[in-house]
Amino acid sequence: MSETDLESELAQLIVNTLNLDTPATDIEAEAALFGEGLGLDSIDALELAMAISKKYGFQLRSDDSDNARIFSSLRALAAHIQANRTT
Amino acid sequence: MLNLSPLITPDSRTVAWRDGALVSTGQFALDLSRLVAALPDRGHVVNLCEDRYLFLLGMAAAMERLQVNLLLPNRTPELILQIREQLPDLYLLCDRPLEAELQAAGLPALDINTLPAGDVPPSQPPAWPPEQTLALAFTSGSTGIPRPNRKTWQCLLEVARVTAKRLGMDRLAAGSVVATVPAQHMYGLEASVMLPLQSGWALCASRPFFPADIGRELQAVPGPRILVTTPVHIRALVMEKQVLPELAMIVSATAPLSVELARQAEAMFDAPVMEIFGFTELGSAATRRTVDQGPWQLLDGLRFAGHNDRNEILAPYIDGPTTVSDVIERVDEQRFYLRGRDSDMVNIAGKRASLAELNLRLNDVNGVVDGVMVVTGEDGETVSRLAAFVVAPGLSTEDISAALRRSLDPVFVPRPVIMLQHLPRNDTGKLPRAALDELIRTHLQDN
Repeated sequence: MSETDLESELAQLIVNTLNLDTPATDIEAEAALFGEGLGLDSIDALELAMAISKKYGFQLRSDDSDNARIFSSLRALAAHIQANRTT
Repeated sequence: MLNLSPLITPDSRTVAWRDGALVSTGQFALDLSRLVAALPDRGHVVNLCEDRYLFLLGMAAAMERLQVNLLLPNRTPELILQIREQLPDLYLLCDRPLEAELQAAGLPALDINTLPAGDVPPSQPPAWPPEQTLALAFTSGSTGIPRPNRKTWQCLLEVARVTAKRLGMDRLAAGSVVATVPAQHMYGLEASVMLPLQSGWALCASRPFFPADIGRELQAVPGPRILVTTPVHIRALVMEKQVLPELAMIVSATAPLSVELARQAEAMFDAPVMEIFGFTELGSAATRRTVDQGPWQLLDGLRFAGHNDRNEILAPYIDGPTTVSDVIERVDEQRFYLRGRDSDMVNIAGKRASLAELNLRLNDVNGVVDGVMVVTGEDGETVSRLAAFVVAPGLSTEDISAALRRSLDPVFVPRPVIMLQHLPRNDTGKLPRAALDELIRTHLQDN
């Protein structure tokens, strides 16, 4: 699956899981997910982690300093999923 | 009189587990003396340390220097600056670089990790008088001005003592407490710092977030293990079917826990789930084992004040009665059921705020002519959220969200923000409930 396809799929997963009004196509790949940009918060992060675990078969963790980067944008999160997915 | 000197003996009691290694009482004593020497000469400290061990260190060092720890409901620059108007000599204590907005606010700050190397020999073991103020815990009330609640060393020790007894910790060997909650919040301070400290258990320095993190942190500490957490995290652990090591118990607070979720957690993790009911003004006040579906029981030493029609609790460590804002049905002097909340208070993922204050903040935003926050999604299992209806010609919804994010904890930033030409106020300027419900039906529920 190409990176952009995964990004679109992830954008849709985010919108569906979190019941957002923003259409998936409006989520810019490089824009911030948390804080500004899409404005997600910690509750959203937990919900998203569960959805990602269910769909892509691996668990999000926050062990390392990479954490801020992985969640910094749709693109970064998609790359992380691509590197770790088992389904 | 209890003081910290049981900690500062050179034997090997474990104070904390940190990055896979234990921190002994001896190490704590050395770390403490170093920090005590390095603190600036100011009266009030906002301890922003995310590492729980460093938080404890900062808290103890402040006490040694007769400084007061400030516990704030969030770490936005706006709130800290507002508190500084009351307490001009405050400074920040942190354990990592401050966020850009906090740095920009230009507040005096000390990063624990930048202390000069080298040991300072430990001085006399600390012996704090019971009446010494350990902290001021701020609540943001409906007036919009943060209100301090004084917490003495004695009151925190006493709450820890009776909580440990109620939870049955004295029947267990000394173990480890792992928590998902911040130490800066009253529940976190009491259950994840004071409780292990007073009971001779070790606290875990990390604050795990994802279910996998929680599993890892619990695995890394010796049992018996207590997990101090909230309904949001319990739900995540159960939904993930997270594999956890053997637990002595799970403690939950900050929001009501559903009996069904408690049952699932008890079955899955083979441990009792105990709930604590408390609030900033009083601290932890009562416990129950959720699955029993019985009444709450006040902690030892607390009792209801006289009249049945007033929700007031008397505590030996607080002058005068404390009013409970939840609706309470008393069974007797010590036991009660919770019957819903004061309609001004909202609870989102365990964080409480006054709806009146949130509305004030919304209407304070430059360019907002009129606005109202509403709670949505309160149907049991899903987390309730805030939405907002706003009249603000010339502003976009992003402008409003960005402005609110500067002064509110992220969970209170409304989503969505619906822009309107006007709000349906009646002749007396009030927003009738029916009109609000109609707005909600039209704009938020028609999908």
